[in-house]
Amino acid sequence: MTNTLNISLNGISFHFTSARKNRFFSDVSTSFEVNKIHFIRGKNGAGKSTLFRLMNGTIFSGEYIKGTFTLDGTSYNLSLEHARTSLKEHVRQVPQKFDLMLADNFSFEENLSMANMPRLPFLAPLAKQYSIPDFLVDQFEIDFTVPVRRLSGGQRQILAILMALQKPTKILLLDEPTAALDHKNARMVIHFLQELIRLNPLLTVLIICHDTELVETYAQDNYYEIVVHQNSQRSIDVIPLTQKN
Amino acid sequence: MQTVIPVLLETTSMTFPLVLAAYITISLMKVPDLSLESAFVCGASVGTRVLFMTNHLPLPACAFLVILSSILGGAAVGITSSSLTSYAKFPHLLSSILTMGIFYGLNQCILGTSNISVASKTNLLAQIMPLKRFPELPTLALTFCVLAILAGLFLRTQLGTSLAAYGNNPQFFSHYGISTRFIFISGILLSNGLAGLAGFFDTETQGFVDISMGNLKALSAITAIILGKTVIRSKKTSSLLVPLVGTILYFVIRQTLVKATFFDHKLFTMVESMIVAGLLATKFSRRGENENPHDLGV
Repeated sequence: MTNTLNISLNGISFHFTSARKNRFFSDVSTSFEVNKIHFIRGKNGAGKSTLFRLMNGTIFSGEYIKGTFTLDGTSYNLSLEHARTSLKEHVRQVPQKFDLMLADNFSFEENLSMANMPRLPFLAPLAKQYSIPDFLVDQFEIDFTVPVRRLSGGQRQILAILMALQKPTKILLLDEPTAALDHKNARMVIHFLQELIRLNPLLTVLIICHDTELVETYAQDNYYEIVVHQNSQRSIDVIPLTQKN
Repeated sequence: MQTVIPVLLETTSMTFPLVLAAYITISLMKVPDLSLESAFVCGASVGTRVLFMTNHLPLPACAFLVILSSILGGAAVGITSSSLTSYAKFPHLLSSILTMGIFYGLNQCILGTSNISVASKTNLLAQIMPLKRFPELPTLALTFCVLAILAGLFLRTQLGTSLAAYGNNPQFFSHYGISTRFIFISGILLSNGLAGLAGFFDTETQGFVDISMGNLKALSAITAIILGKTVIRSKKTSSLLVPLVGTILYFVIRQTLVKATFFDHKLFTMVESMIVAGLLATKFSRRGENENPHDLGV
């Protein structure tokens, strides 16, 4: 029976070409507890970003994929395009270069308004149909009216995350969100994510992060590590924090 | 002095659609849209051709068809260049140059010759309270006001804001399921349509249409925008005051130079360009966030 409290990858096999030999991922399975922040680590080239791409349901022409992704009790067969399209409805990703998601000459509020525009924007006035959590106003001292380029890196990262969350989201994928930030801003972003998780019981956040201190400080019980074995096989290992310490 | 102000008003009103067109594409969208010059000629050519065909109709019907066709003529140039960029993935500068080549031939086919006089036909711009020496001025001034109001409203819409956001970050829209291609094509289409309208105004005012009447028009429009941006310091991402004040300033400088006797008028464009360069150099020599040349968008 499927555990609806978990998000799971089941028997994932993937390669960048249709050749079935030397698969990038071969029969990989793992699960993530819902409504938590999970950290994912791994060396360069281990496949962290590729894993996010698969979880996001993005498969390019000619690539080989097999396996299922279970979310909220529903199983999505990743080899089927319509299943991947359905999966995309629930998953949002903020890329490492999060500034690409922002129009930095515009204010925080204007960016949020524009993110909510229809597919074909036309002659309707730019409506203020967005939601800003109350805690954001109280805790993060963000000026919503100045151009976004005047905000700190952490505040811009928060905006990028908020913009990704303007549509209903169950999984938020963050690819190295703190890589370009100093320690203070990195902590601010994680605190923001903790508040989001607290307020939204259906949301789960997965973060690719290389910062050991950050992972050990903010991961609750464990973190995930993509390990490349000698035979180029990959596995996603769950590393308990107590073992690491 | 008695003629300077009406001339200034007339030239400003006549050229405003072209400067507004350049403001939309070159300044807001930050796209090197040289095809504006082709749109200017195409609007004039198609408008003139339709004027010849509909001159026997009642004036309102004739005016409506001519204005509409000149806008559509300009828009045809816009749809060509923007489609080359959006679908064939050409850099827009190349698309513009190719489009100019395509429409140079097409405009000649539309006109049938390299220039046509419209003096024998009804002057559509001289129908509303024509002044003795400046018969087109009232109509042009009225069009200027209507266009300014419509443009001001448009810049506040989703599409108007999107054009400025495109210039800020063209990749912005793809993250939110918004069609970047639609925004790009709409912006170029609208801008080139306005350039076509300006082309027809030019034809009616000058009394003829010429295949080379678009030459250096983009440069004039860019100069007006630079002047506008030098003077107007708006905190908004788009401001109608920029093309408006820019156009007025541009023609104030031109009229001043026309009246000046201290230089040979063969050097007119050189002196004009040097004045603009001097103004810009003064602006950028000051330090501050607003003094970034990139902010000009040209």
